[in-house]
Amino acid sequence: MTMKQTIAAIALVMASVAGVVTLRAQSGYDLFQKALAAERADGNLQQAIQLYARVVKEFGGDRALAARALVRMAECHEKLGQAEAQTIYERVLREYADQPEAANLARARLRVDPRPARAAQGERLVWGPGREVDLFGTVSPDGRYLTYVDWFGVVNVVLRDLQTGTDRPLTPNTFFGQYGYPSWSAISRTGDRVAYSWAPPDAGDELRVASLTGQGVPPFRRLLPSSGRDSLRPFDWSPDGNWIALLIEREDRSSQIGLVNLRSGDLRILKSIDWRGVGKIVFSPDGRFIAYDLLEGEGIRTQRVLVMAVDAGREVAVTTDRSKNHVMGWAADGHLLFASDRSGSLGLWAVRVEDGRPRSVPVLVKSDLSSTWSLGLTRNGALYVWKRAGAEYVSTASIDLATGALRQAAGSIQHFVDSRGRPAWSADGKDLLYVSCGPDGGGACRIFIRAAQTGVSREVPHALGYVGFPRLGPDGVAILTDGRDLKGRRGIYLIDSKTGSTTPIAEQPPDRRRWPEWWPGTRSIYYQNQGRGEPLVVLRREIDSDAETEIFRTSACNVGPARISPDGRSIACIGNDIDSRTATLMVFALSGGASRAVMRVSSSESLFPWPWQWTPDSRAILVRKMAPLAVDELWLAPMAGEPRRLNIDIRNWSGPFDLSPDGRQIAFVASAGAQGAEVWALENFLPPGGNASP
Amino acid sequence: MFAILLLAAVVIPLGLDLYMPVPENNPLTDDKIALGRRLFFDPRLSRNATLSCASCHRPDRSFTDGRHVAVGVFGRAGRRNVPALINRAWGRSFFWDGRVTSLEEQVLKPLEDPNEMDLSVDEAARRVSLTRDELSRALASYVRSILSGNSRYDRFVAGERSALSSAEQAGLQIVRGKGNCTACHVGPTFTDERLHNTGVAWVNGRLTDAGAANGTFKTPTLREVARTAPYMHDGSISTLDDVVDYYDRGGNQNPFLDAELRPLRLTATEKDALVAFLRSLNGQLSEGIPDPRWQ
Repeated sequence: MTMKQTIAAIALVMASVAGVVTLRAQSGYDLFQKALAAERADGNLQQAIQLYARVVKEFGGDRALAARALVRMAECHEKLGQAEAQTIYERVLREYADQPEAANLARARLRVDPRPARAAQGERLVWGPGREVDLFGTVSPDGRYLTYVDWFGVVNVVLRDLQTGTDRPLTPNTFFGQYGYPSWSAISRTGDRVAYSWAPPDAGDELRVASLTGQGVPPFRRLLPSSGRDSLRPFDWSPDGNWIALLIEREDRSSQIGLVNLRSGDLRILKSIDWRGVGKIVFSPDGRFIAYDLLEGEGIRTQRVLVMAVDAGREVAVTTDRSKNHVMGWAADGHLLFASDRSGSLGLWAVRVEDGRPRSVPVLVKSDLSSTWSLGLTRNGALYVWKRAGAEYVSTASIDLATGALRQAAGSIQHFVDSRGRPAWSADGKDLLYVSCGPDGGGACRIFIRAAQTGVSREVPHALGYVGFPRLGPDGVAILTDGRDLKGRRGIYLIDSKTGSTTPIAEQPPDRRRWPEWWPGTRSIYYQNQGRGEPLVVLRREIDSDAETEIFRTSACNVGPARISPDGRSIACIGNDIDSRTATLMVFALSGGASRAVMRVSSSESLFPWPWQWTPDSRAILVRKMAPLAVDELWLAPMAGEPRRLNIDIRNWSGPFDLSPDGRQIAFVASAGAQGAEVWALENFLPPGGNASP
Repeated sequence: MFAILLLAAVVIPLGLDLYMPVPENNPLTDDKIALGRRLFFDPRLSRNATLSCASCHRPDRSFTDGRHVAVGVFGRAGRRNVPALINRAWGRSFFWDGRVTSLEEQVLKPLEDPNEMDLSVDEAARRVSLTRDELSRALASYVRSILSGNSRYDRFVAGERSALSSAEQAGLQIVRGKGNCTACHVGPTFTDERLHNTGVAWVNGRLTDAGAANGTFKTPTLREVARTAPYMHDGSISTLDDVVDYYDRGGNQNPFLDAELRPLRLTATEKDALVAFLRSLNGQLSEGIPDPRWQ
């Protein structure tokens, strides 16, 4: 039984017990939420329609709510291809004209082409699906090129030719992270230059600019030098090519919206905001304004779109309601495009902005938007968006390490749309912990614990904004995790899974991962301290006394975590050697002595840095091997003998895995459908004359 | 070179946001700032015409007065320490208890406070031949022009790596890390503009000043902090070393103590570094009409 089925069963029982009184006591808002859940989480449109109808019937006195319910109901009919949609939209206009938002939505929907949105508005897949499809770049003005980072390669900024399917590295790595690590990039409005952030091995981000003309890796100009551990995120070029809009994430956990001048390198800090930063910054067609989105207050539900003059003279809110809005682009005719959930589901909206001020009410230009991640507008007005190709979910299966056999469980444990999973077994193998984060894997994360015996999952309260890789402790109650708290502080935290009490254990500077783990069978933990170019140091910390001791140090390992064997005698880690171009899984005796390589790959092959694990008997390590253009493989590297490939198809495994303590079960994250991500071009959605060229 | 002329009237020094939130109905103008400045120094705004705003907010003391608590007309002692009136243009809450949310409203309150200037706003406006709104807008405009930036810290952040000594850099790391100072003192103005209970108002288990509630007070800026002793809402701590010691102990325990406060276990060297860094936040103070040398 899945968790949703379980919840449904519990709800059914409770409803039976409580009877009609309970149902009548339910507020219209609760019922609306239930309908939304049926529509969006379960995809059960028929049930959603019935529930929305009940909202209208039973809570019609709340006209705003009833109008919203009717619009949602109409959209459900629309998705089902049913003509009732039009009737309901007309009813909204007729009977709920006093509800402007609902009426506007209905009017917009009646205006759009009645054919399915995809066909009418020309959604075109331009890249993918594939795990290499990432979201760190932008599209060129002609729509032919896209910048991205080849995270599954050697980590370069790459220019993808979407027409020929060829790639051109724009940065010099020929081995994983050899000269540094890129992150964000943005192509200029003329399409001939790119700005990208680049962190040299021992420093924070610097901002570089390079030409896109010619062949090979272009020379770069350092526009902004590294400043401590600050991160830089270039978003957009001004139409005249003189300025780059960027976000600076400071070490003090504040963020700043800035403009850097291409000629002088001068940096103008326009506005400081909190650590959560902005999702996107775009220039207006005339270059006099920028638009960005900003979370309001401490929550994550309301995100406003704001416009600021580039001389910082004024800032104007374009959206003022309590919905979540994401800047997507600014079309040449002055329409500012933003994704919004204001109608109850995600749609693309446009608002006309003149002289930095909104001059119209937002209009829905495309419903059923599947992503809030814009890669930019092309000159002819196509909006390029990144989205996941398929959902990911946690699953378990029995495994026989001796034969390499895997038997897929009959049903997945849970199916969280856009979840990343990160499963981890409890020490006794009776519980499985996993997480569900926001649409792009970041954002607020929920933690769940599923009891294997009953199949019932419960949500663990906590006070973190983001969780990394949580692990249940030996008592089955304490959860150890890395993550960020609600003020953006990175660190190691301890969560009491019963009370939700969240306690910081150690801080985590922005340039290093801690990879905290429980010390096998104890109430102590271990974690590592390693900056780029530094030796790997592993520290043991007693939870109850805060006493900390260094237990291991090596210069041989430089990627991912170090993990101690279940018997507590050995520690393993991965070292990438640039000179020999090899990746080696190393094992060391904690009592000292020589190290040994238990698995080595070379040339273009590599070992996935973090989803690897000791077997429960401490005699082998399960590791994922990858190579460009090849299917990943699961390998078993024994302490004695040669590593061997397991005959397990992991092409749909998209994230970490975890062996149960008895070694007979494996929990993993798998993609449903296509793996990785896709880039789509949304075309012909703008009003006439709304192309994007400045 | 480190300052940018943003609006007609104000030069923003290095380290502060170029965007200054200004109400649309009170745009900054040179004339208004100049008028506000004259009003700020005008003793007619107090009941007995002996005190001006500048009597407590002294420019030579980074707009504080060096006293534990303010002293008003007729020598009346106030309840709280005079806050530094710097970079308030970016403020979102005002007074130690954060009870006011706009500068236009804030600037009028001390006029009416019996322990400060003890004069009705209408009478104050009459004395200077202005309307209530004109008085408020002019004073607020002037206060917006009081800026502190271009400190050695700002130059360090802007890339001048030698601007801070190694001890000061170590102090900066403590501010951001072990000291947990940036939990509240964050961003260019070094304040989150929020209310926190740091325990100062709780003495021997007794609440001496409720502040906003249960002893919560607004986070003050750290800019110019070495020039604005004594510290805390009641001026009860005289030196930066003592402030650091106070937070190192985790603050005065009380039922409402902010969760961010806990013993820091700083070493003597770390404390020295932290104080050294705080001193680097002394910046270039400007007020009124921009100094042409800055342009």
